[in-house]
Amino acid sequence: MGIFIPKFSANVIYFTEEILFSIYKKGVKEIRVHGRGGQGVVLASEIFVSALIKEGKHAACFPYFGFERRGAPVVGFIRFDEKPIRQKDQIYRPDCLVVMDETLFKAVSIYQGIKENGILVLNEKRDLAEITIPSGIRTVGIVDATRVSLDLTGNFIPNTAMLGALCRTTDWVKIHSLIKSLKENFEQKLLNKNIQMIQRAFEETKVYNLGGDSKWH
Amino acid sequence: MALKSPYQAPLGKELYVIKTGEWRFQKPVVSKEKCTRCGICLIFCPTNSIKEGEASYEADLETCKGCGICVNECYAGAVTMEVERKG
Amino acid sequence: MSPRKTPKKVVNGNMAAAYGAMLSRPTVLAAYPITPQTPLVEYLSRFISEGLLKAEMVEVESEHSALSVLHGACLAGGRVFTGTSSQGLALMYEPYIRTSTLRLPMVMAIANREVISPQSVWGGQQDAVTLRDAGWIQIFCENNQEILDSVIMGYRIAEDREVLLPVNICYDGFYLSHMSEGVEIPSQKKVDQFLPAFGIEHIKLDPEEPMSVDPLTPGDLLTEYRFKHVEAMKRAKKVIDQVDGEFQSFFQRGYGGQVETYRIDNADLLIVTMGSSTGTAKVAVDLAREQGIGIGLLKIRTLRPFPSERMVEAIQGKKAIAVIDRNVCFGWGTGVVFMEMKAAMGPLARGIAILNYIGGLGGSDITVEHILKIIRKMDRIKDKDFKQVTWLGVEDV
Repeated sequence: MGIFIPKFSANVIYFTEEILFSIYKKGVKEIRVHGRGGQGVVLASEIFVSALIKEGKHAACFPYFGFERRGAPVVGFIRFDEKPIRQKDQIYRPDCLVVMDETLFKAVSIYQGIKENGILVLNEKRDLAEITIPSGIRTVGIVDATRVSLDLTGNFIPNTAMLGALCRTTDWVKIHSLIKSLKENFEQKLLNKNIQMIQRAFEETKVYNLGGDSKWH
Repeated sequence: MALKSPYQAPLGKELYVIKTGEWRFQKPVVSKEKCTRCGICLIFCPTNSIKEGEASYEADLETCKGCGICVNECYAGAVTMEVERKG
Repeated sequence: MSPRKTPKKVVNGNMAAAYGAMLSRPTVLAAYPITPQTPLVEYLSRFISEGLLKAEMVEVESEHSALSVLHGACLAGGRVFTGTSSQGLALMYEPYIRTSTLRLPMVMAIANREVISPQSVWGGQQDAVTLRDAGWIQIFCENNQEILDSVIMGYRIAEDREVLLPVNICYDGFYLSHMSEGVEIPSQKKVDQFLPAFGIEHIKLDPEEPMSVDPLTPGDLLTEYRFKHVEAMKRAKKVIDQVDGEFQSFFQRGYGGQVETYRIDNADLLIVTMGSSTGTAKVAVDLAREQGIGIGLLKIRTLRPFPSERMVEAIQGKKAIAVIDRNVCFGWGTGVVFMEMKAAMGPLARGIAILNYIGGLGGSDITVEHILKIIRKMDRIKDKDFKQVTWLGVEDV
């Protein structure tokens, strides 16, 4: 087929040995952000990294895209830890998946590699009951980021709202660190709107703790 | 080595049209009264989605990705973007 | 974790190179955008318009013109900087070969991108390694902090009286150029102390001291100039190590100079990397060490001049070496670093199993899993019957 889909697991065969899982017990957290070009995946990743660094952690992120076009699938890889991040490869076993555009599920195999007891952060207006969640997911955070973005800016750029949802679902960074990073990345005109978006999304995010078998407890 | 391509040099023989219509969240709506049929929107459309219709130029929603360039370029101001929510 | 003195800024590889250039106070810049280096040109323009960088950015219509402009500026006594990638570097080839043979000290960033065909915008080291015999010093970086620091060190190395050669600072496209991480930006004051003002003496366009620059040269003189160029490259090895040591004492950060060794003591296996895959390999080495495997890592920082002496030091006592190449050496059927290492090892290669893994081409990934498999393969090598070259991602390791 001619279409290019970000294939980040070309011919990698997952080890089942202890050696590999010891990486993941070492404290590195890996997040994979899925979105489309123009939705702010790259900027959101950078703001998240910036917030973590303000809190004294080490973090790194980079994007991967097939076509560099508005609308084409984009993936953002974020790693953070107490120690410097040395890995420079893509993320195959994310602890957390952030999906900014629900139409992506048709085009990209989003759930590939997510770890047992992983976390999902979804941009959805549906209820959890209507969504198929793969087994093994422990936590799901849902927010209608599209609505937040359309209401507050008239545009479909859900990245800031998704940051609020990510913060609320995982608690891996404090919201005021994110807001401080926003201040460095946005000029006054858009800054207030973005702060409102992140705060509203933070409040509106519903976090569900599943038992690891996709049932809502 | 398991080779995926039968060719010696990089080339492609199949035409695959990417479903860019699935990318959009807003669609262009053309006012038939205002449209002057100048064709500027057709020239600028990056996905080649604008087609000549009966009363005005229109976007083919199979491929239109909702970028809004046609709105930006239309001299007559005949195109507006309308938000559509997908489930 | 010790408290940091300077707050870290989140920058990507291109911005790190731009900061490094800004702090080095060049006076003339000329660059043409090409993915993945485009943001570098944009950041430099922004620095100039914000008054942070007092330089003139000459708008050129191609990379060929960009470097030609800088030739003139350098000869006229200005410190210069530019950046490019892949096909841009190819277009720049004509003035590129001339820069080193004319002994013009300058620094150029290369955001390594695969040369086309096949059509690609993603990372691969082919662009820089294809030009390794053009006489430039080539330094490959592992992370963004190293990019920033290497640009500053690059000027020290290039402008050293014993060297007087141009320097390439190479970093992997997308994997480093677009990777955002925390980087300490040194203060202008400190960099000014480390890097003295630029002044060109050995060849210049100066009305006070008129000379013809690059006249038609007969064979015996040409041979002499080539010899001097070669000698300068040899001296550069020592200078690179020296400058790194000085940088370490100024800024408390060092990179080992020509090579960096990681956990090579008590190791009988060795992984050799160049570029961003080093970071990933270090993680794999740590994991393997936990399993009791005696593995170490050698990071080649300078491809040119090739660090033969320090490489030979590092391979002492090793029974198997795996070289991971993000490039191809056509004609040898191996990667470039593999071929260079074998050439440098000479008779020392007897008795050591040396394997080559070509991967990461065209933006494909070199993962921790790949390297762990390579380590396991090396650990189990019984005799000399092994496949010398394996293509990662296309063949099984």
